[in-house]
Amino acid sequence: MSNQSNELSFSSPFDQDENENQQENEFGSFISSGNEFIESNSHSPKQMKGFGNNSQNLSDDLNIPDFNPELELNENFDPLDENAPNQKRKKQPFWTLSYYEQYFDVETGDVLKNVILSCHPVKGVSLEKLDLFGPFWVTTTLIILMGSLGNFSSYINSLKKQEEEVGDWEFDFRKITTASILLYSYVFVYPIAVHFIFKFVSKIEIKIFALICIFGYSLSAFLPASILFAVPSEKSKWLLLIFVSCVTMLAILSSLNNNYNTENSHKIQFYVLLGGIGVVHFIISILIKIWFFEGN
Amino acid sequence: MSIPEENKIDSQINDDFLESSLDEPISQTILRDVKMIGRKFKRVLIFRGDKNLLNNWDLWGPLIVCLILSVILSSKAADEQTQLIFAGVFVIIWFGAGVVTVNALLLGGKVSFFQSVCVLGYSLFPLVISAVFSIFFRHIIARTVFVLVGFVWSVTASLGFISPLIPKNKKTLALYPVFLFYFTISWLILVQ
Repeated sequence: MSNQSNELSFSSPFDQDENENQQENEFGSFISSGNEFIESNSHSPKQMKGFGNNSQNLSDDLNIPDFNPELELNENFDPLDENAPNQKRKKQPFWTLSYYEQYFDVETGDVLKNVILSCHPVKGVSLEKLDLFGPFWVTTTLIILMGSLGNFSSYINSLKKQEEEVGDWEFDFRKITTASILLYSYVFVYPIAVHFIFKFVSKIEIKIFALICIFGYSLSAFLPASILFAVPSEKSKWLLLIFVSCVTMLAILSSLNNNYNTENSHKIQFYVLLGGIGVVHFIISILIKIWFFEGN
Repeated sequence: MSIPEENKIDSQINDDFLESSLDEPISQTILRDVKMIGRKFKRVLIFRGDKNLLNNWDLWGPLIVCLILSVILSSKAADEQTQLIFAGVFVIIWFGAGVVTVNALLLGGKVSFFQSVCVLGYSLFPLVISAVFSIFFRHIIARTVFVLVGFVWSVTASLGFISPLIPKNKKTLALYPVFLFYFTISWLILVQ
């Protein structure tokens, strides 16, 4: 959002309430440097809209920051500063669709960067800008890939068997349904449990959406692995699985460690919980191998 | 006081129109809608003609496409999976279209929800044709070619509609799910 739109938006409540509220009038003159510019611009009905409206068009909500009545008490307020906390978007309750817009504020480069970082054993995923796009679509892509390549690997297995005819192989739709249940719950339901376990056992508050980010992106290493699982040798499948599982596990644990390992004294519990998360991740990887990419 | 001439004629024309819409035979009413649906299918196949045809959205086209696909794919499946595949294809098409649309909306695109679902559904029509062809030609290479052609056709048809409505820096993010959606359906058709 440009500075221009911020100034325009902040001018409208002051102009409206000028006659009513003395305090706001004084504050209006405080930003007199921008006053001429503000007054010369027309106030479209869109900007004068009440802030309590739930507009049909989501983009309307984006352009109007919240009018904060505590503005005049904040000494550090700078109307030209885009990053000041007062410039936040209007906070919607979590059951509306517009609430989740803040988590889709990413670009292609950000998503790709996080996908690659999820395989980095030391750095881990960057949690500065939480996003939901990456985890959800990585999971969905993995489900589709596992459904298709899992069936493909069972087809190859049926080709290798001498007794059975190739025509006996049937496409198994259950792979898609099982994959979706397993992966969606690992990425979206399991973080809720982890959040509460961390809160009660080691008193550390980890945002649920940060956990969704971490677990979702960690699955992205399984995408090329699924393609490599087509190699029919059983040994290579297990080796590949262990390698991918360890790399992603280390990435998960490091991102948790880097961001949430503070100086309070619950270190032992924290490390035990990290160990638990690693074990669960390993189990999920083994399930992926057993259920979808059976060997000969 | 007499009514002026023009107003009299206007009200007569209005009455005629209202009467005719209620009095016409049902076949005429239904045929009008059927022709509209047919025109939209044709527009998806051949990219010429009225660009705004898909703006008055309706969900009949996606429903027809969905039913045809589900019936074809489930009839070709293993016996114990027929119901599962029928339900599965139904869910994939409707929830898939819904999720792709919600994704485009959340990324800041300016689309209306049902219009986008409508376009995604209608654009599945080339894949339906590929599915019908693959019933008759069982050879693997021919089917791959048909499905590939259908896939490319469908993706082009829907991209033309969705891509102008997304902000530029998020275009890839919004178009990738469309690609994924059609890829899933194409692959389901291919392996039957």
